[in-house]
Amino acid sequence: MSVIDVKDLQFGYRSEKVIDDLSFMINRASLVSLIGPNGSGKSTIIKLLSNIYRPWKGKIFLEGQDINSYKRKELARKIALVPQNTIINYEFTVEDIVLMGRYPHKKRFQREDEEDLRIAHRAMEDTNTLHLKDKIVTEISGGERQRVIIAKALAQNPSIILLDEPTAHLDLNHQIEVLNLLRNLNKEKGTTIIIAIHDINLATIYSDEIFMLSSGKIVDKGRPEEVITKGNIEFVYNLEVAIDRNKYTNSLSITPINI
Amino acid sequence: MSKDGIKLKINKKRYGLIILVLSLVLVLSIGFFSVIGTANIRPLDVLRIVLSKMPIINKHIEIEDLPDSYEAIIWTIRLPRVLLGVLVGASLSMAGAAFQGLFKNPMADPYVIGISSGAAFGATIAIVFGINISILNISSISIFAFIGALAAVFLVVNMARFNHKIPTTTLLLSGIATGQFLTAIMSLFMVMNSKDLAKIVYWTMGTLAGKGWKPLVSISIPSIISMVLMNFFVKDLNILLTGEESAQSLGVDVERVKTYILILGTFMVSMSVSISGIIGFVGLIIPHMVRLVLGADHKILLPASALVGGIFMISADLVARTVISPMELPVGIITALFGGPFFLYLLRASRKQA
Amino acid sequence: MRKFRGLVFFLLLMILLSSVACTGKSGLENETKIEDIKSGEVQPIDEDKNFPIEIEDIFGNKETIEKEPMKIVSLAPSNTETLFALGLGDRVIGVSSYCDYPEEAKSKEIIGDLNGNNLERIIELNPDLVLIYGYGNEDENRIMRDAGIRVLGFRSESVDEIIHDIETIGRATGRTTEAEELKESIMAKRDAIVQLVKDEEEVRVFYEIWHDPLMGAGKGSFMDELINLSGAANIADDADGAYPQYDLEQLIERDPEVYLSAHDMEDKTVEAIKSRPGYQVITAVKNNRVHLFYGDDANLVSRPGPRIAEALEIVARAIYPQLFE
Repeated sequence: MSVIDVKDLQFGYRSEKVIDDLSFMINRASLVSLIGPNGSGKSTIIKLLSNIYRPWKGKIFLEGQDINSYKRKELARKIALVPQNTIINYEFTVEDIVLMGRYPHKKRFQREDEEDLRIAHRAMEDTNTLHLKDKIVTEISGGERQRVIIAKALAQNPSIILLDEPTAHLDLNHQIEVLNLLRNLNKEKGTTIIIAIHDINLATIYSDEIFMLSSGKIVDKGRPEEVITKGNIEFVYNLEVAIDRNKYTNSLSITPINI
Repeated sequence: MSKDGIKLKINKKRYGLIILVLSLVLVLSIGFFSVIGTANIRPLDVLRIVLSKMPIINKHIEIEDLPDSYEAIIWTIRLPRVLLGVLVGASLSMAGAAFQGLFKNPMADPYVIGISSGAAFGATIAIVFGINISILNISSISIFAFIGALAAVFLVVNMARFNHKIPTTTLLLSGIATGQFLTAIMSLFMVMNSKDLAKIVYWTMGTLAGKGWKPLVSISIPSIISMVLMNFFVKDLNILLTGEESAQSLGVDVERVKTYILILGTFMVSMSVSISGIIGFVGLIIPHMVRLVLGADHKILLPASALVGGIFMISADLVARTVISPMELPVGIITALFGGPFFLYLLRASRKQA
Repeated sequence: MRKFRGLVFFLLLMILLSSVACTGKSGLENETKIEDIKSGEVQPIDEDKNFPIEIEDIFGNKETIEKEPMKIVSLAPSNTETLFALGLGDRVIGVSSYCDYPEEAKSKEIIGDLNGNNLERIIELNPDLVLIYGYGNEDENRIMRDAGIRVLGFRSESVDEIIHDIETIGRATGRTTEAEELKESIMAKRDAIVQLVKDEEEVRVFYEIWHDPLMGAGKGSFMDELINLSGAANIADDADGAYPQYDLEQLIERDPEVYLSAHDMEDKTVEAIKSRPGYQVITAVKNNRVHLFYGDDANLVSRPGPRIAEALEIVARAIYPQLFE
């Protein structure tokens, strides 16, 4: 059952086309990773799916409806975006930031109420940031900030979360923490999760489905076992690798050889 | 923990109380500063004069014993001047706070998109060509300054606009470039018409003196409406500060919000500048002061900046008009004298933090 | 193409604005050839009159005038008036754009205005003497002096200083007799007026130099002296010159009986002044004693020069009209 349908997408920056003739489907309640080298279009696709960018040609359907037919706040109640880098130079508290996630659910002059606070606190609990709630957001670490932004996304109560390199600047333990959180969300609430991620090994551990991208095209998609092959990696990354099963986690792991 | 203890723990529920207190301080300041001046008039007499102009109460107030000059001083000179100061200070400060949020740049002030250079240019045209058509009791110079300000901003915004979007960094650069350009043309005018040079320079320096009620009455309703409307966007401003893409994904209509804030800000500042000339530092410093104590939430920042800005402006004006009596200092000098060192302090404090 | 559209629009705008801005007076309208001046319109008087002579101007600049100056440039209207009053009109070969008295001065070549002097032209004309207003521009003065031109600067605000200037210029140009005559005439007129107003009750006067912001004539200024000599009291005479903006409240409180100003803007009329906020309670307004100086009179009261006695007269007449019936 597809929740997102993309047909014949074309998009680029200025005159340079970056995405050409892209079509794919995302199944409801799946955890999908977009992998590929820099410039392959991972971030671009995330932004197109969250309607931040408008495609030159083609259509995106959300739950069967053209994504452009949704009102802004309506869309924001369904899709949450966790961008790559969130820099906040102003002294809001963590709680303030997470509460912003409730914006799509409020009318213009409506104040945040007890219910909103409860939802925000729940989101902070889930991301292990509740203890930071009164701290100023400029005074917490990068990893903590990233989790706060995720908490904000959770507070939106979305059915789809899009994340652009959520683990890029995190320590390994925080990377695992974030991905575990996302997987739990996916399994327990059925939230559809789409992650642009560069770490192939982590992608294979957590994903139901992987799209491998190169130069704006989907080179292969499917279950991790199907997609993560020597041939694909060599083609996309120009790198010779050995692929075997990790004896501890039983997931695929790739190791570059001939380096 | 939070910074060096300057910031108070502000509970959102306290916002209403804070606004109330600030409003009270403002009203008291207006009363206080209306009483002080170089002409020695007793506070009680000041009160009597003001009351004698109020629609219903005036039947009970007698001011026959006071010289005519007192009435003229208080009613036609001092009171409108203080009220104009409140309006100008409030407009500049609120617009400054909004622009600092919009541009995510603490160095932004209300003039950053070309309003001041546009207004000065408009005034220059009116002065050099000796234009003399006053509308609604506002002088031609003020009208042309106003048009100049709007035109400059229109130019700035359209130069920065790309694909129905207005990228904020481009907007800033466009504002600076246009500002320089207009100032250069203005200098050309001034050099070519040197007899008007002094008049142009004095207009630009900014003063609240000698305007009377008429211009104040003309701009007060539109200014107040603009300020009220600006507050409609406080939530959006908060969210914009986390990044335009984040804001958009939360359902904020980013481009529309930017446009409204620009329009409202430009409007309220242009009205003030067209009457009082260019008074600097207020729009830059007051938002920082308020943010330092009350935090960055625009829900409190914007209205508090307006109130504090009003109080600050009339305090500075008091110094300007009394300290070297019977002469006056240009009020922009007082605001700079206070603003300059304070700004350095801010820089130090933020550097210590980083 | 879209990229260039904005740029082209911008350039057009710049060109348009620049061409409109050039509404000022151009520098060189009456080009007189140097040969004409040399060709003997002017006769030097006695060769050994009083030259060479060392002259010191009020700023301490000492110049040695070798021989009687035949070609003189004046860069200030007061100096121009003095030169013509001393009978040296024929020797004046260059003036500033503001030099409009006497009538003949307007036909001289314009070499400068208050914003700048055409230095190249001055040097090309090779005058014997240049009279400037005030300190002038240090670089310009040095360039002129290096080119062998004598430069003297004058800026006076009081009758005594003006007389001193006239005497100095007289010595520098070999017109000491004429200078003495002029001095006598000025002093006589001044004394006559002082005598005339002697017994009048002192009237409170305010002279408006500028409006928006309001500026009065402070102590030691030219107008201050004129008001004092007219036997009246300048209510702005405790005003410091540094920041000239005058407090409206003080104006109303000090309540001048006579309000004077020069008609220097189209929209500055007596009616306009009277209808300014707060003015309605001023005695001068209530009694219709607001007086504007028009045209040449306006120049007179702002130009401390050889016609100072005339200036004094029109000020005294404005303050005590009954004495001049």
